[in-house]
Amino acid sequence: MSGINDFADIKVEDLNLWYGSNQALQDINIKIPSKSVTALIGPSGCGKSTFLRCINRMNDLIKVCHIEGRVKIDNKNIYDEDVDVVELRKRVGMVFQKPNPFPMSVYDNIAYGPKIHKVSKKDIKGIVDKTLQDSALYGEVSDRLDSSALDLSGGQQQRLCIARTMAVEPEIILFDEPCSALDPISTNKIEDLILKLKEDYTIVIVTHNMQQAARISDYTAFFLMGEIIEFGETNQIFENPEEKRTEDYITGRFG
Amino acid sequence: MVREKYHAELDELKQNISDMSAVSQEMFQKSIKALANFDKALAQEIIEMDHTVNDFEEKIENRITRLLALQQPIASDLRLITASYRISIDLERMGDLAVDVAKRIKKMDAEKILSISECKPIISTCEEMIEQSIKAYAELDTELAKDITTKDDIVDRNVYAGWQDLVQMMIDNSTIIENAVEMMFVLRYLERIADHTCNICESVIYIATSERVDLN
Repeated sequence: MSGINDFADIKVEDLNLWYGSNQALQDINIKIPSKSVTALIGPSGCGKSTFLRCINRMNDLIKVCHIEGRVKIDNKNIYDEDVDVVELRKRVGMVFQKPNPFPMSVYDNIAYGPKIHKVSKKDIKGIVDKTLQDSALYGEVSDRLDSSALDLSGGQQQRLCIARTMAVEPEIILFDEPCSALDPISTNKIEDLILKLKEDYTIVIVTHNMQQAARISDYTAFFLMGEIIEFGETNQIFENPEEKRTEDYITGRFG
Repeated sequence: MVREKYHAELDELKQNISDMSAVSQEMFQKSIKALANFDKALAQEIIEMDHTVNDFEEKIENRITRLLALQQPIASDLRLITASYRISIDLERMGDLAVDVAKRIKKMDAEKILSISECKPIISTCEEMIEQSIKAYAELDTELAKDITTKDDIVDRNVYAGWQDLVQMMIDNSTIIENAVEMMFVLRYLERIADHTCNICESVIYIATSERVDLN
């Protein structure tokens, strides 16, 4: 854990999570630095996506899920009773594995969030333009803002989903394998975008692509069977991990 | 995600380096034997072995290029691959230096062979260093690798003393100047061979620990 600044946007303390009687996360303690990219890696079923969903309380939607411990964002535990979950998910956006645009126009996809949060029509137009530009999509869709978002390519749909997330001005964006359904060119565009986004957002990304984690992240956490085995600077994790289990996993000796 | 084919390729790379080391070592041994016996036929044999070590270098380079392009290695695997490439270059240079020794032997005048006391410790230490560097690589033994420095100092000291002796011999007897100059080159080549074994040991330490150290 050396070399990581004490200031953290996300501070996780003694987090334990069960699905029924099955413990999926065990004693997670991690500080995720702000305005950086943190990659979560590990074999399937190791708890990395479960952990990601803890950061915006997506697991609340699962009835058998039971959580203990704290996830603090700017020192406020998001599991405290007085936390407004809708407000929390505005601050902590999420992009999923499969692009999931709403069945409406490109424009309305992005305008949807700001409208719910009662932003004026005039301001919404500015937000749509800005987020489309920031998500590197503007040039490709500026003449078809009224077309259905479902007509876009997979890569464009995923960037639209990122733009939609950005439209409500989150502080943190969670990515759950955002490129696994995309071709290499779209993947490159998303990776470039993530690198740009970290100037303004704290990003946490789950990825099965080891090289992707190495390319785009500043910090990497290796999960195994619900525990964090190693967390540190990505360069160190990929060049010379401290834990043998990390080394064995990233070099393909098990998993 | 267990990558059997990839790991088999890494094992083959290690085997290639080990086989290449054996060729460079044999060239060195033959060169000192040719020097001791003033054996020009053996010297010619060494010169002809040059292509074998060159072929190995090419084979290893191709294997490494393929591994990098197709397998995207990371962590200790990446260190093994990049360091093995450097080691293959060191081994190729050691082969070239053995050839250089052989060429000098062929130029020497059989009637004016010079004997200097430093030759024996230089040769025996170089032999040990080659053996040690090969073993350190095979076993990724960092202690063995670090220990090479003391031996390199012995070689350097003796080479310098040997040069002094040869200069004195030339002052004393101008008819042996040509052979003495050839001998000075030979000592220089042996000293360079020792340096390459140090480089190999540096690479071994890098593979094992990711530390970059300077051993010569």
